[in-house]
Amino acid sequence: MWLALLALASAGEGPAVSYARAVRPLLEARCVECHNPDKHKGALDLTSVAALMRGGESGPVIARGRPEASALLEKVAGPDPEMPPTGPHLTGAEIATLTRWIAAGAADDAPAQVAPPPVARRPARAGARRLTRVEYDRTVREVLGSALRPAAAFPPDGASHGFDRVSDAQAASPLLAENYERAAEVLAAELVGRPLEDPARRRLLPCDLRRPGAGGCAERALVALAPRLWRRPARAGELEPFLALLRASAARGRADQGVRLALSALLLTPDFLYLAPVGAPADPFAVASRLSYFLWSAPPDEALLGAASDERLATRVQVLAQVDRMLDDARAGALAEDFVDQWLELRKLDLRGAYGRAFKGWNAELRASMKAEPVALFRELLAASRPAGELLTARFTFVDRRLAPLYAVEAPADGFARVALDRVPRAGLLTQPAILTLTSHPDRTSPTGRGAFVLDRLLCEPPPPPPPDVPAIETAEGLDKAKQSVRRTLERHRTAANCRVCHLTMDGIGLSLEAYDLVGRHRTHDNGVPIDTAGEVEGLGRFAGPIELAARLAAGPRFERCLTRQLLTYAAGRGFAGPADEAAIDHVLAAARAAGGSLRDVVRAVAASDELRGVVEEAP
Amino acid sequence: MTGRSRRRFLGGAAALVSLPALRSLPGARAAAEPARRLLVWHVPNGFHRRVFHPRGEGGDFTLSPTLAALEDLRGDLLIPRGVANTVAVPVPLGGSHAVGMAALLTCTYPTREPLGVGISVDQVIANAIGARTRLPSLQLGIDTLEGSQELAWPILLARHVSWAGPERPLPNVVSPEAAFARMFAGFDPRASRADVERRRALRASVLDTVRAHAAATRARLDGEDRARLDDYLSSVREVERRVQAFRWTPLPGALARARMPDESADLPARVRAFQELMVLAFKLDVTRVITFSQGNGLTGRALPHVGVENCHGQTHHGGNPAKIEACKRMDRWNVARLGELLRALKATRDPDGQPLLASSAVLFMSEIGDGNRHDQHDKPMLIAGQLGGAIRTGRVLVLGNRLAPEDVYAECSERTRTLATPSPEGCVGAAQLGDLYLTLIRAFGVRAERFGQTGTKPIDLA
Repeated sequence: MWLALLALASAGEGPAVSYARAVRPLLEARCVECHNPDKHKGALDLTSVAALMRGGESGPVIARGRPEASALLEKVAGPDPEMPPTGPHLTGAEIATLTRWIAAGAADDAPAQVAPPPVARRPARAGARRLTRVEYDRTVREVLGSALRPAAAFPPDGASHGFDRVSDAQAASPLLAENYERAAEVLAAELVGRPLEDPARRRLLPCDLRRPGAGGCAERALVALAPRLWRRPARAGELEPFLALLRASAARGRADQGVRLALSALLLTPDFLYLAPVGAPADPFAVASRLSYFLWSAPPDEALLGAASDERLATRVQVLAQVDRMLDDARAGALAEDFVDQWLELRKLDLRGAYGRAFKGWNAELRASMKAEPVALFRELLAASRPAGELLTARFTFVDRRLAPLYAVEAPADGFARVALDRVPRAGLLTQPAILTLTSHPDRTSPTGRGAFVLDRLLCEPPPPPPPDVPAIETAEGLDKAKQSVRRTLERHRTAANCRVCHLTMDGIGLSLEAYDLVGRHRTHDNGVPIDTAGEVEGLGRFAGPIELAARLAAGPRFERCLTRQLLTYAAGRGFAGPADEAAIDHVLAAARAAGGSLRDVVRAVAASDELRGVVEEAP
Repeated sequence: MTGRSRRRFLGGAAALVSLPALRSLPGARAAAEPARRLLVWHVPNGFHRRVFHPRGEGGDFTLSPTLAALEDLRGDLLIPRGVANTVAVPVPLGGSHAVGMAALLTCTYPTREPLGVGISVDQVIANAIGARTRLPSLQLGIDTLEGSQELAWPILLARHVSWAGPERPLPNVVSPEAAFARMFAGFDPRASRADVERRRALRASVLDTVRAHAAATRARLDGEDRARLDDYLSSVREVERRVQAFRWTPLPGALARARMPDESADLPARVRAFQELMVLAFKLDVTRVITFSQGNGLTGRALPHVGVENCHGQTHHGGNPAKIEACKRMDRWNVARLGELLRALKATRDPDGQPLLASSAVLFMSEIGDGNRHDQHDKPMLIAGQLGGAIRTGRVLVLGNRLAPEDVYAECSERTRTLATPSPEGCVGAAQLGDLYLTLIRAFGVRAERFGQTGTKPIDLA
């Protein structure tokens, strides 16, 4: 069909096609997200006629007057077009537009530009966002001293750009509001029901509510509590309606009920459930919340709120002083726990049910240990100010008695212990059982899945998904029958042209990781065939095995940039995907490198970034 | 189904037959027309289509092995053939479960920025009739996190079938216990009338205070931030409305003692409880619109009750006879559960005195057609119930080109892929799922000319 279109277009039918009015808008809508001067996938920039003539890795992509010889059309037209890799293909009409324009000589009628248009820097901001389930539970534990975890019953948080804190995936629903109402009632009843001797009760509500006249004491308690729940001082008169709820009940001798109602109401206000937006000019209390939920997944403490109210949270230096204090606090463990969990998709391990005959030892304890290991490594590198790249190259890890057998090392007496890996073929996150397990199927490894994970989560370059109708190639039964290695099977598979491009990269990485089985145990043979862990991947070069692969990944700029992008997404609660966001990432990376480039420096630079402080450009 | 297990299943619902008709509900009184109801039962990961479709057409048909358990209900079935959901076909490079889920009830191709789809058929109907019942609609499901991510699309799409608007997916309640609480607006239906009234007054005072305070916060926000707050506030208002609308009704002894399983219960136990709750919700006129998603698209859940370790893994059987057998077992098990629900709906009468099934349309289908092929042509699906006379059942209704069982690729997929764009004309000889939905929403009194991206021509179902 597209040949017919070409023929039609070549015949010169239809009106002349304008580059400025028709072709450029089309390319901008469908192609330049990836092919622009900043991103230039395949070294290709499609933002001007000159750039089109310059072309990419394989030369010019248009041939003036010759649609049939133009690589651009070859990529986007035909029965199974390669581009765009995601989203719908170009329509027949769009292809006809391109074809006609090329056939007519690909004239450039765009007004001449002295310089390429500057990429506008989006004003730095972090929009209002809701507490996630994890944050809700940590918050009520921190403020109310409650051990309840009411958010466990909430509907699951949406996720966008890989993180559930990203606000555009946080639609509310009546179901959610019902859950908030129930949780508020339960939390308030629990606080009121605690004995007076309970430390949290004595701190928050030191009133014997059965006594007549307990209302005054309860009022003072609520007035003190509200700013902690709202993470800012109450405005004049703002608390009156809440206190009125208390007084109405207290007047009937039911101060206990009054506290429950008023506290329930406070817990249902958007000021509790949502982080206030950080814009320019930024509200210092909003900045304080962003910092504390980034580093602690919990509300600001007195010191941070104090800094906000004294206007000691305005400059980068002031923020960094707080960040350093907060990173040294035990609560900073939450950053490792929550960020790593989402960044590396550790919660996928929760979905892994039983294994068949492939692995007998699966249980909830092993799963918990697996998830704890990458968190422990992140925490250690952060605390010790080690280079971020050591997340991939560290020749040590933390194991307990459940993980030790997978590593074939001696089990520590109790809990987790640091063990050196210099004598075993392991390095960093990539060779940890958690990652190797969550990227495997329940009955076999998936080199493709492992390669895709590296590209997506560690390099922020997700491969396009496989075409439909592709049967799974690596079935365990099939391999058994054929008595061949996964590598051979995949090699045969890659001969199919439409699979080749992506699989070359994914499989190159994933096959090297075949040195570990479906739960991360090291192995030298697969199905009786020796495993060849060497590989070569464009952009990474040649590597002998997983350890060298990890070193290549860590040495290149792509890993650090990706980690920065992920941390920014997590901290600001929005995606960093547009061309303008690249500038923000550059900014943070430069600050981190200038400070020494350790993992701690990256975290500090993100925390002190314009994005979290609501600053567009800071005066020097 | 044996007589004994049937009695056990109907325990709750049958006990309700003795309830007085709930004429006190708002709307039940006001509605001049008898109620009509919609129930969508989605099962994940497609069917083994080769043995799904019946042989024959019109009233002269033979149920397939997969559907054999519905033999006694054949008079209540309308089995459409040749229906395609073409908007979900052009998935350039995979992601067909997520796109299939998104398009299943919306007939709309999802967008990425902003992430969204379109309003779903159940929500169009809920918008029209939902105010007449305590809950406009009810979303039930099995999976929360379960259902792994397809790299092409955020997992959000694979988790929802019901969309209140382009960017408003409605989460499923996955715990029967929570669904029960929801149906009774958070009140304990076992408490006394006086207790319920006291609690209602207190809850209303709290929600009132919250709303007034939020209005002040709202005034300080603008743009997206204000929209996000509005989103929450409208949800709070909806809770308030339900608290006000709840009318205390004495519960029959059997139900007053029953304990519902929570979300930790296994899949068969939860499906059984949800069957019971769905009948109860219609019976008490708590809602007239229900979706039940028996798993997220691409779920790899283990199904020990049919001897399956990874339910998505089985569907890509690659011709392996053992896996094909497992697919057939999954399909037969699901169809048998549907049969139980339909029988209960048939045996239970609504406040108008009609069997629930006669006033309902029950749709049964998956986000993709054949589990191995991921296509959308000649979708395996069933409609049960007469929808108050809008649907004539007991027949196979041929609406478009049927696929021969051995067709490897649907003609529709090939052609649509060539056109390479979501197109209502993309599927030669197919009827659009959107047309079917357009027909349904009109049967609920919605005056619409279009539905989604493909619904343009109503179908005569009567």
